[in-house]
Amino acid sequence: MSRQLKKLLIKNLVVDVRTRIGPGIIKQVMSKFEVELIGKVTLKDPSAPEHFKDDFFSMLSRQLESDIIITDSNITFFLGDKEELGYSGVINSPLQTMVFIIEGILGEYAFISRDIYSSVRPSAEISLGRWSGGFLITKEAFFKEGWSKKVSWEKARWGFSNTGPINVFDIDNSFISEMIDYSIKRTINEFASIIRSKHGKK
Amino acid sequence: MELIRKLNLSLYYNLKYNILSNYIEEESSNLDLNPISGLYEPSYSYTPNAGGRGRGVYPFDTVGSGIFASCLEGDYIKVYHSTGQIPSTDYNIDYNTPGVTLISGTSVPVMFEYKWNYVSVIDEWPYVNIPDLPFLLLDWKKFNTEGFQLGGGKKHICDLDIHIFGSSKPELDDLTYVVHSGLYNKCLTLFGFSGGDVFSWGGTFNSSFDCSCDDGVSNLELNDVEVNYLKLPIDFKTDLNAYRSKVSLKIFAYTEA
Repeated sequence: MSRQLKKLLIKNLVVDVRTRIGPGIIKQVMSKFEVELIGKVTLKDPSAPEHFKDDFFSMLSRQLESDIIITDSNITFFLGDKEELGYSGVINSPLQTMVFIIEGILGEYAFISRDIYSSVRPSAEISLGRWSGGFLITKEAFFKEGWSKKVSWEKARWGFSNTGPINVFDIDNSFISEMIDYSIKRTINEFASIIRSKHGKK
Repeated sequence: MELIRKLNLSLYYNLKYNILSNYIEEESSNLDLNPISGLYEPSYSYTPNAGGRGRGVYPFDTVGSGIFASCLEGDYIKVYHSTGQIPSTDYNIDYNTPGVTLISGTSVPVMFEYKWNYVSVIDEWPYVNIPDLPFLLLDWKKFNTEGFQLGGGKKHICDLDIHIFGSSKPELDDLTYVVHSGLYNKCLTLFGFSGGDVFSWGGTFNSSFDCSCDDGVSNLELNDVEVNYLKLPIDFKTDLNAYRSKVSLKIFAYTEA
């Protein structure tokens, strides 16, 4: 491949990854997010994925702007960076909550909202931790600490209790090779017209 | 038995009997008769114990001699009556529950010596009956077959995560390293299980068990073995999700046309 053609192909691939392939992947991830995570818990629950859907979308879109590595055999770019999602450190971001949900949570939990807290401990100082709107406790603690006297277990049960892993990144990637083929064809056509114009042919 | 189940069992026993062989403990327990099952079952004074899900009694003589130390049931387990040892011809061992069933003689078993898996290994997400910590969970995500070479060969691809649940940070670190180093850059034998699984229904050793390799499919090639820690928020820090990591990998196996 001539150096000029290679340069043009890389340029076109970078543009297509940012404008077509990347957004196509993000669209699929977000649609999986919708299907698998939305509507599972009440919106009053601060762990409801509805609350961090926009943050997640922004993170994916922002990461698409970072480096794209193109070699002779691979095109590499990063979406859903594990550092930013909070896999490797306690960052207490809303997205970290999403990671716990998509990796699966073992055991049964109750969500103690501000309302439930006040009804059981009216005179106590409310310390609701990092979620501000409430906190999770185990089923055992729910019954042992007397929360069940004011609210039923069924009502307080956290919707993502004992849920297996949900892989929102598992997408149908067959469209990617089609899009790369498109980039190559487009590059060849552009290159042919450059050559033609150089030699004065139309 | 079909390929996916053979893959599952080969990896399961590799983890339980080979990679985690340093976590196979020796113990002795008193036995009490369970009148419902008719089984003499150990009474435990500790948790976790051999009775938990994914644990059980080790069935072979030697620990650490490969995945299956032999195709035959070991005879290292000792069962005692009040004044001496009961001959092994007088009882069967239920390796899963575990326990002892008398099949002849009149001696009452009161104690037995055995080896057991301190780390539980299970092959599905435990929606019910969650094992005591620590445990490993095989989460098989995807199985796919692609063409391989001209003429109809097949390449089988399996995607899986091994979730590790520890009871403390040091334990989690050790288990994560042991599992990762046991799989990283490794090939794994695919066993044929032509005579069935190691244990029969009821937990006794399967006398037809055959520990030969599967000669129709290649060894299992382990790729992209990667560790991630899951740092859960403070709300979960007091329970079984507190110390978690995940080893992800891909398994390739090839079948010639």
